[in-house]
Amino acid sequence: MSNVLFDPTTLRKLEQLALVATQVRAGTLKGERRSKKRGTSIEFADYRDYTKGDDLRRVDWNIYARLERPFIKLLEEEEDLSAHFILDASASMKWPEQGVFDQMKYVWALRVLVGLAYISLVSGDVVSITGLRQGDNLSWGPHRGRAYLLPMLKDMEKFQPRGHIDLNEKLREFALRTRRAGMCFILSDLMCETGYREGISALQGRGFEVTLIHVLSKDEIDPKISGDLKLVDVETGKTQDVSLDDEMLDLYKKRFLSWTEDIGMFCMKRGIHYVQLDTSTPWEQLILFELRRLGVLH
Amino acid sequence: MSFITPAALAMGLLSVPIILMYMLRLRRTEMNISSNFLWQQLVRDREANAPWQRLRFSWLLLLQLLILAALVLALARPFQEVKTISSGRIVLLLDASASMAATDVSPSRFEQSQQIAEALVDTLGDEDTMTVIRVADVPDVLISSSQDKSAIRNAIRGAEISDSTGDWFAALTLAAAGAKGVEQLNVVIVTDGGLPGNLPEIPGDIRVVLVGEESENLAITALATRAVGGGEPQLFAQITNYGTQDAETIFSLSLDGELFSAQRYAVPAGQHIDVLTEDLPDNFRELEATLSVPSGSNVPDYLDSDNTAYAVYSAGGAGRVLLMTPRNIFLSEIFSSLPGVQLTQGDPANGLPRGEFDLYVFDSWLPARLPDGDLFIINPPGSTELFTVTGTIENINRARVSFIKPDDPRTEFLDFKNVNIRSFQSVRGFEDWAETMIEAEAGPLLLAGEVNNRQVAILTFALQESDLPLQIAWPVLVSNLTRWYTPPRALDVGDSIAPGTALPIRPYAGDSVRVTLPNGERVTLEMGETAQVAFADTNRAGIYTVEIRDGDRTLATEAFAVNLFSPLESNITPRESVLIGTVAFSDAVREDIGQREWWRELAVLGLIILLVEWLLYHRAALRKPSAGVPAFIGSRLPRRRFLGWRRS
Repeated sequence: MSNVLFDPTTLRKLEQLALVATQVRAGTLKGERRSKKRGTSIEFADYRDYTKGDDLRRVDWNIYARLERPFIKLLEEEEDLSAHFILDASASMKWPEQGVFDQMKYVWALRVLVGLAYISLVSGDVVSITGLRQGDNLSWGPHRGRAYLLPMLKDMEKFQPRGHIDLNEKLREFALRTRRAGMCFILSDLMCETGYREGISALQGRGFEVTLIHVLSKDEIDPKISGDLKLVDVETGKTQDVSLDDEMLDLYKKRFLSWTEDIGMFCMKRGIHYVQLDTSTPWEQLILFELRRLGVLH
Repeated sequence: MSFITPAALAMGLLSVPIILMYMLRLRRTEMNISSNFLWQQLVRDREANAPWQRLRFSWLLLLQLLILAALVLALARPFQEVKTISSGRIVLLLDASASMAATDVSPSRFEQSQQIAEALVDTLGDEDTMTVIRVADVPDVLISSSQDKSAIRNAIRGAEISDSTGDWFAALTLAAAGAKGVEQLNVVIVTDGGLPGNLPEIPGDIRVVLVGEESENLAITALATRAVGGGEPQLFAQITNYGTQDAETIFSLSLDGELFSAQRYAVPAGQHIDVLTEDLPDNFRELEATLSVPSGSNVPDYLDSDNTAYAVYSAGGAGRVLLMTPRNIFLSEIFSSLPGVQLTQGDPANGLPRGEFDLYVFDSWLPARLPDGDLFIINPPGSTELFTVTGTIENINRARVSFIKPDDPRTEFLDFKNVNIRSFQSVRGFEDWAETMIEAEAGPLLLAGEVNNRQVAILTFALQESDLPLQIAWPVLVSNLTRWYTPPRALDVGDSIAPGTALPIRPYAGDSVRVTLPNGERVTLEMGETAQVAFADTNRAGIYTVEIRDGDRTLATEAFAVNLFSPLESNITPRESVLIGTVAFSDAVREDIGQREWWRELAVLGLIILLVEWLLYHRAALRKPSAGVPAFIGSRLPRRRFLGWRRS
C-alpha cells in the first residue's frame, strides 16, 4: 500500500468525480438565491462610470454613442457559492499510527475533502480550505475553477497534522475571520475534551450551512485490547490507567454509542448534516452515496 | 502431628509479599491511543495515582496463599507416628521366586509383597535406612542402605518376579554381610514361606511378613521323554495337586508346536499321578505339556508358571555295542531293544572279537587287556588297571542299597529300594576316576566315571544274583547309562535343568555357540581356549536351542529344556512360620514406631490448587481463545504470566 496522499488510485477516483460533477452540485440553494453583487450575468442591474482598468467589453457602447461618456453596464450576478472546508489536523487524526495507510483518519478525511473541493471547483464554486492544527493553520483559497485542482493537491500534500487543538476555539476564530458565509464542511473526529458545540454554533450564527463529517477509525469504535494498560493520548500526551476486561470493553462501547448519539441529536436539532463513518469505508462512497442521501449533494 | 524440618515454616512469611503485591498498584503497559477522553469517563479506579490500594477479596489471592501454605507445610515435612513392622537400619528381602506369582491374593503375591514393602518405606524415619534385596536364583541388591525414600520405592517397584527358586542361603548371607559394624540390623523378609529348611542363622532382628492365603495349585512336577526297548518314544510325566481339594485338569501335549493330545485327569488333594504316554511319534524334537483348568471346575489353580513343562527328545543311541556275556538273556534283550544300537554279541570263551566298538559290555568276564572305548563291566571277576576286586560279599543284608547319588543323570528316576542283591564283588581302587552312584553298606554297587577319555561304569553284582532285571529300575538304569555313553554332546544335561542353572557347553568343534532363548532372543558365545563356555541366562522356563557354529556354518544343533519342577515353589500352601537357623519366625506384628510423612500429599494438593488458580486466571482467555490484538495497536500487549500478581 502506498503511503502517498494522492496516489494514482486516488487521482483516478478524483477524475471520476469530475465526470459526475456535472450532475453533482454543491449547495442546495443554487439558483434560488440571488447575490447582491453585480456580476456578468445577462440581467441588467445598473450603470456606473467607466474607470481605468475596466473591461472594455462591458462598456455600453449605445450609451456612449448617445452621451459620449463611457458607462459600464452592471448586470445582476448569479450566486457564486462559497464552499468552506475545515479539516481537523490535530494529532489524534493521525491515527491509526500503524496498519493500513489509507485507513488513517487524516488521510481518509483529506481525500474526502479534496474530492468535495474538486467537485466545487469544477462546478464554479469559490473554494476555501482551512486546516486546523496547533500553531499555524492552513489557509487555502478562496479559488474558483478547475485549474486550481493541482495547486490544491500540492498544497494539501505539504500540510501535516500536528499537536493539540481546541476545536471550539478554532471554529469560533474561523467564523469571525471569514467574511463570506456559505457551505461549510467540517471533517473531524470530534475527540476534544472541550467539545465542538460552541464552535459549530458560532459558524451557524454567521450564516454557514454546516455539514459535519465525523471520521473515526475502526479500533475507536470497537477496541480489541485487554489487560492492565496505561493509555497515552497521542494528542495531549495525557495518560489514563485502565484494567480492561470484557465488562470494561462493553462499558466503553455503550459510552461510545451514547456519545455519537449525542452528536447526532445535536446536529439534528440545529439542522446540521451529520454523517459518521469509519475509515474502512471507501472515502468516495461518502461523496457518491452518503452525502447525496443526506441531500448535501445533488 | 510433628515436623521434621519445622524451620521451613518460616517460609510462611512469604505470604506478606504476596499480599503486598495485591496492595501495590500494577505496573501497567503503556499503549498509545488516538484519544483517551472517552476512557477517562470509564475508569473504575478512582485512586489511580496512589501506589497502594485497599486490599480487596480476590479468589486468586486466596488460592495463592493456599498454594504457599501447602508448599510451606510440605517443606516442613509433617509426620505422624504410626505402628510399623520395623524401623532403623533395615534389610528387606523381597521374595521374587516363582511361587510369588500365585494369584490367590490380588493382584498377586509378589505385587502384594511390593505394596507391603512400600508401606514399610512410608513409615521409615528420618534417620532410617533401607537395603532391598530381590531373592531369586541369584540374590540381587536393588538398593543399598539408602535414606532416599523415592529411590527405595523406585527400586521396589522396578523389581521383577523370576521363574526360578530363590537362593535363600545366598540372600541371607548377603543380608548378614550388612550387619558388620552395625549396632542393630533389622532384617525384614517378605515371602510366601517357600524357604528351604536348612537356612543358617544370621545376626540381627528378623521379622517375617507372610503373604498368601490359598494353597490350590496343580503342577507338572516331572516330565521326560524316552525311547525304551527300541520302541516308540514314551512320555513320563507327573502331575501333583498341592491343594486341599481333589481337582481335575486337562493335560495337553504339543509336539513341535502342534497339539498332539489333551487328556482329562483327576488328581486327589495332596497326591500326585503319573502319566505315561506311549504312542508318541519318533520324529518330534520339542514337547510342551500344559495343565489347564477344565470348564466347569470350581477348583482354582493359582499358580500358572508350573502348569507348563518342556522336554526335548533325542533318538540318539550308544552306536556299536559289543556284548560279551555267557548267554545273559536280560542283557541281550535290553541292548537289542535300545534305539540306535548296533549290537554284536560275543562268547567269552572265544575271546574279544576284532573290530572297534563304541561300547563294550563285559558280563562276568574281562579280557586280558581292556580295549579302548567305553566300558560297562558287570560283576567284574577280577582286578584290572582301573580297579581292584578284593572279594565277594555274600551277606544279603549288607548288600541293601544305602545311598543313591542324587541329581545325577545316571541315577535319575532310579528306585533301588525294592532291589534285592544276594552277593556282589567288593571293588576298590577306583576313587581316582570314578564316583559311587549306588552304594550298599558293604561297598559300591554301581560306579561310574571317566578315565583316559573313555567312560566306564561298573555294576558290581551279577544280574542273576539279584532281582534287578525284574524291576522297573533295570531298563531305567540301562537307559540312563546308555545316554551317558552316547558319543560326546555339547550339552551335558538330563531331561531338563532348573531355571537359573549355569550350563557348561562343550562343543567338539566350531568357534562359537549361538543359543536361542525361549523368547526368540539369541545369544552368541565365542569359544575361548578352554573349548568350553558357560551359559547362565537360563532364567526363563522353556526350550533353549544351542547351535554349534563355525563361522557362518552351523555344525550341529542341540536343545535343552528348563523347567521349574520345584516342590518348594509349586507348594503354595500358606505357611504359619519360616524356619531360619533354629528359630521359627511367624508373621510379624506391627510393634515398632515409624513415621508417616505427609509432604507428598501436601505437594500434590499445592499442585492442584495451582492448576485451579491457573484455570481461574485464564478463564477469560479460555472462553475467547481467538481474541487477538489488531496489528495497528500502538504497542504489544504483555504476555500473560502463569502465576501473575494481578487482580482478577
